[in-house]
Amino acid sequence: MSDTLDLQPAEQGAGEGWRLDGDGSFTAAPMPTLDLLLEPEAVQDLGLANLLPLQSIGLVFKTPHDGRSFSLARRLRNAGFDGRLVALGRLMPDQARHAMQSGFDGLWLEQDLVERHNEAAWRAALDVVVARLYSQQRLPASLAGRLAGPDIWQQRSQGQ
Amino acid sequence: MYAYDTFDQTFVDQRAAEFRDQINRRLSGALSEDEFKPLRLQNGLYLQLHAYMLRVAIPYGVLNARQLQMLGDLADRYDKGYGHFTTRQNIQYNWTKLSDVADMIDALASVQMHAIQTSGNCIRNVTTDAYAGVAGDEWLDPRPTAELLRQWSSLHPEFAFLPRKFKIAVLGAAQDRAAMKFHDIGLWAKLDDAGQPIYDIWVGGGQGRTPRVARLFQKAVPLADLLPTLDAMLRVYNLAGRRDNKYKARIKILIDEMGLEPYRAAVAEELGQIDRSVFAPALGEYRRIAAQFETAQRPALQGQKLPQGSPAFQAWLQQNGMAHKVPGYAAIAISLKAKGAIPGDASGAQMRAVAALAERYSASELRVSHRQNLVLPWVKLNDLEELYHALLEQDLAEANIGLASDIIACPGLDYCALATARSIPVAQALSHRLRERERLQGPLDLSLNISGCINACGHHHAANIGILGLNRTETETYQISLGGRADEDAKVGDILGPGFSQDQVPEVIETLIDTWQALRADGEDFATTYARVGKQPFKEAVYV
Ligand code: SF4
Repeated sequence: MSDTLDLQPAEQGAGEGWRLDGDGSFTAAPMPTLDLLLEPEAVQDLGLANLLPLQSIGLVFKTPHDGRSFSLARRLRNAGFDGRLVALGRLMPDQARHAMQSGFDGLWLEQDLVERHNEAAWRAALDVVVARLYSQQRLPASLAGRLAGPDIWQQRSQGQ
Repeated sequence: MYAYDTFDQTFVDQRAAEFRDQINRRLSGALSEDEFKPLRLQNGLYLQLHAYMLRVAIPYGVLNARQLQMLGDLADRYDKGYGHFTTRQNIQYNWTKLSDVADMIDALASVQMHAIQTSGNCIRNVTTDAYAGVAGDEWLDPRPTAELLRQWSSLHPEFAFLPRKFKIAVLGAAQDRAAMKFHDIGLWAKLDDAGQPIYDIWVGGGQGRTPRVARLFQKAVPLADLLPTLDAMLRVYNLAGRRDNKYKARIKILIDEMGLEPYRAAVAEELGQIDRSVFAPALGEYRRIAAQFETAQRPALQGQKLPQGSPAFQAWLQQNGMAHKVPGYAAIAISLKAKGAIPGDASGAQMRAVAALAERYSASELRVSHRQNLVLPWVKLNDLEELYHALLEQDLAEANIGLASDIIACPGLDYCALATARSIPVAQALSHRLRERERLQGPLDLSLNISGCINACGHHHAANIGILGLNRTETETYQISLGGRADEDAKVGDILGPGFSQDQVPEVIETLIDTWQALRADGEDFATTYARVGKQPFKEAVYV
């Protein structure tokens, strides 16, 4: 699929880094093999429908100030994308929560970013955050641990 | 009032712990200032000219006595004994230390308050009418909608790093007392034939360097569709809003450049993809919240009578009182605009004194108004005179609500890192003159707002007389605009002409008022006279 769209194929396995998953696990790992690696500008041109059949997509954050990829993740999930969604680029540990709650399965981080924030902050990224939102949109099936489970409004409506 | 349950309390407690951790990581150097900036802003912490400023949310302007008392204590303990109430129902502490902030946030959480999203490129504190629930012209109490939106938008994962800040206001009355049409999204709540809430959604209002009055996006949206619609509106903005220039990043510019119709179409397409089941609990949640506000309403009182009192009491009641929707009560505004005062400032002692008065005379409830004043919403008619004397003792009985001397002003160059000119001394000088003039001539029915730079936090565009401080060739210059209004007939003011020096401003303003008084028809307010006669006579009067 990525070939027919004439996309830059993701640089498979290039670069050392770490992966942070939706259960909070944090492990050293090479850059993941993804069908497609996308910067926010590119999505408009590609058309959402072309992306849905892919197995895995990486969305890039160019700076921690640019939240477009959070909305792209949600848009992909809303459109029915069921594959693996990975956030890459200049993220902060504090944004791991935003990523998972917007529909990402996990993050992949370059070594320098992990070192600068220090490993402990990434390991704690899903611990020291507000875990339960009032209204949570559909979470990826892979999510487990603190962030998984019903939101506050659902719990209230069930009298919990 | 809305009271936190354990979910709400856990939410703010966890957020406080999260921010404490972020501050520690900044202090240790693990977070760079560039990374820390959006995080601290989302917790209300600015870096100003001289110190950090903490902006605390007063959600939809509602406070209880205990909360105001805490705000007063924080002013004494962590600031220089003052707090500054803003036009968006927040309070700012201008002299906080980074090392104290986490403790301040914990103290706020202990009285069910927070500083979440009072700043940053996210959905800000949702505001409303300071007279919500008590105004005689109200169709629907807007506070349950505002609380629903507070919960929905708090820590929203997708909308925390928007192109720019995003402000929402909700109204439920005939009159707009919250400048709704100068918000990114304004909701005007009404009731349908079955008595259920429906909302007219307005979009793209704002001030700053490109002032815009909001445009009608959609009429009569039912409550069940409200959150999905807002979700789609925000997503389209997050993805399509400009990020190359922060002065062109607000939704008003997106609407200008994209066009309202194409924006509507994009939102409709987005809405088609949304999983609505996520929002289904919102209806029950709205009812749960609304029930709390309803039980806090008081029944009509028998045997209450408006007191006669002295002429000064009568003048105060006339100016600062508001007819109540429940017989037997009045809503009373407390002016924070005494002669020569800094608009919106209150000392710790004043806050505690007002908290005590609220406890005694207003069912422990208070409001903060868009015009930077306080309101006691539940005063029994029989208590009015006693309250007036108690306020007099605290120097808080200034009878100037809604008059020229009830000036809105931003902090300007005295505090703000973005300012190009001072606004506080200008406001103080004008306050002296105008209050004196009101004493001699009676009420001056016009609004006067001052901003210290083009960002327009002092709402100068939306004032009958607006003053904008600029810096031209290293001297402060004040540009004047006329005819703006922030009510339901919202309008951006017209620039009068070349600016004036700080010394000239009071004289120029008095000339403008003289001109209005000479031209006005019987009982006409400034905005009406201006709409009738236009700019020319005012221009001729000041540029001779
Ligand atoms: S209008 Fe300008 S000077 Fe005034 S508070 Fe806003 S940014 Fe600061």
